[in-house]
Amino acid sequence: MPRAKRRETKEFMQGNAVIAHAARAAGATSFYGYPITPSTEVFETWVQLCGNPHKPALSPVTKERLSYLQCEDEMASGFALIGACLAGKKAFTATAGPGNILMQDAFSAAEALRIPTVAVIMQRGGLSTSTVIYSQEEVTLTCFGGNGEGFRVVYSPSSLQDLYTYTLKSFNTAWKYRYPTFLLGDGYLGKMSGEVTRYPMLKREYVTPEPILLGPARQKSLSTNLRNCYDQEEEINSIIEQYRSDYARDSKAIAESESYRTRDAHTILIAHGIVASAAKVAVDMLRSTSARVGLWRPITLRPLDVPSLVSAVGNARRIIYIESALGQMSRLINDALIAYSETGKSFDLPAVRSLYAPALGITPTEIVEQVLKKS
Amino acid sequence: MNKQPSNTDISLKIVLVGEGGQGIQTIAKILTRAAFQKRYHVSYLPNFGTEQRGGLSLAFVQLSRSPIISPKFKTADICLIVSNRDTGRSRRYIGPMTHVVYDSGIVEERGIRAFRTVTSNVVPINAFNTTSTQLSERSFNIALLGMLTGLIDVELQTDIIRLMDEKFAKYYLKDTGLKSLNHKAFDLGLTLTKHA
Repeated sequence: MPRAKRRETKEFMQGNAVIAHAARAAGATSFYGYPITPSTEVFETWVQLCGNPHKPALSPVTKERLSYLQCEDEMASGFALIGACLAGKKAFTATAGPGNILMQDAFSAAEALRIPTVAVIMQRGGLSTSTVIYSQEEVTLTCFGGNGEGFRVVYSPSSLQDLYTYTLKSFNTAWKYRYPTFLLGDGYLGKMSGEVTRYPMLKREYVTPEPILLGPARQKSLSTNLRNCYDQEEEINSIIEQYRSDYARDSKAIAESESYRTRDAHTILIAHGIVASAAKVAVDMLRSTSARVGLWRPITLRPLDVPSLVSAVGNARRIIYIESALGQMSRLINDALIAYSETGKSFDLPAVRSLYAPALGITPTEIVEQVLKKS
Repeated sequence: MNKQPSNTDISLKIVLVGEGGQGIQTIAKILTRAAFQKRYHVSYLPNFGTEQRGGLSLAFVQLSRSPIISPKFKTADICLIVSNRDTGRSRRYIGPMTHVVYDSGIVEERGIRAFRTVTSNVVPINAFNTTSTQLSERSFNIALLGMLTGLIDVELQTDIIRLMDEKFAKYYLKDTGLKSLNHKAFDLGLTLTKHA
């Protein structure tokens, strides 16, 4: 999204607050949720942005009233979110860990019915309730949670600025392509404070939400049937195949990645989210010693930017997976590379190494040490 | 302490180690916000458990004249320890060049011994007892803020005091002596810088 000719303000903000401000700038008008650390301040900040309940603030984009509802739990929040989106509201939620698990029922329904939703997931430590701090252990759950095929969009921001940029983008992607869309952050990103540049969304960029249940279809007939229950296996099979085809087509426009100093690199680091920020610093440290190292970072974990991935690793001698989990990201990459090789295109998978630190932050120094390790 | 990052091209990594509810996170927030207003690039990352109060509470703070890409670091330049609870965890962030400052009124010497095997820059301060005796125990965190200001960049002083007053404004209304107490504690902390 080009940022030229916009009124920009540079501020010191907490990550979760950045998201709430970005959602407002994106034209979101409603939030449904149940607070859980480390995502709570998304909700708190949104409530502050809503202002006085007797005289609510208006969206700077649509001039509609801003609103929120704290539901009784995450399951209710997820379905309230779906309801609002069916009514044509740009609504969103935020959750983490066990809350992410509970919301999968609703997200699965949204996936089945192609309902645009935006959910902010701030990963906390797994397993189960675990810590309120940090991990990258909700990748699989967010990409493939529920009984479905993962027809979802999952952004993995790596900085406070990314939180702003990709929150804006999440709303447009969700409503343009009608997939449940996730901003998959983590406890570090949500809780950290630093500098971020805010800017308004331009009118021409705004995707108007369609009132799915109350829109033109409703005017033609007395009912709008959104079907998620089928009698015959062939029926649901044809729906899934249609979705697969749509997803493959839309993936070309949605998938994003960053290749950093990869052109002549013998070693490609692959990391996402905040770990990719550490990896970027590590690349610069290693390059200063003439090591030929680069970084490939998936910005969208679903769908993956496979052409960019293949281009980045195609000439490398080795790749190193780095993540605060036991291979949740690397499984996505491996699957994509295997699928690519099955297309018959010539491709040799480089040697693979990993630095997995489940539920632990990873520093640039630790990545440098891993790269320099002999075996 | 030799590292005086006043106006040049500096980069400082600080880890604060305290107890939940002690004010470590508030100190870190005020410090980084003030530094941001003085055109530092800053990053503040809190790290704590599920306890409402108590438990180990860490704050990772970075100040730099260059953009900060990654909020977590392996080795701190300064590590301030005011908790006796778990000095083992903070040891992860200590290297030979780290300056470890600990409050001898809180942290037992035996908890610090392991740090001395890594770095020779281990400095005791007596902020807790000094603040408790001269002012009030509840101003301890403000004395720490003053001490850190002196260590990092004394030019941040005006902004930090202003942000501190904003942060505690509603408490000042209820307790008219608190503002004066905080200012005295801040000044006391600045004098402790000399010991550190």
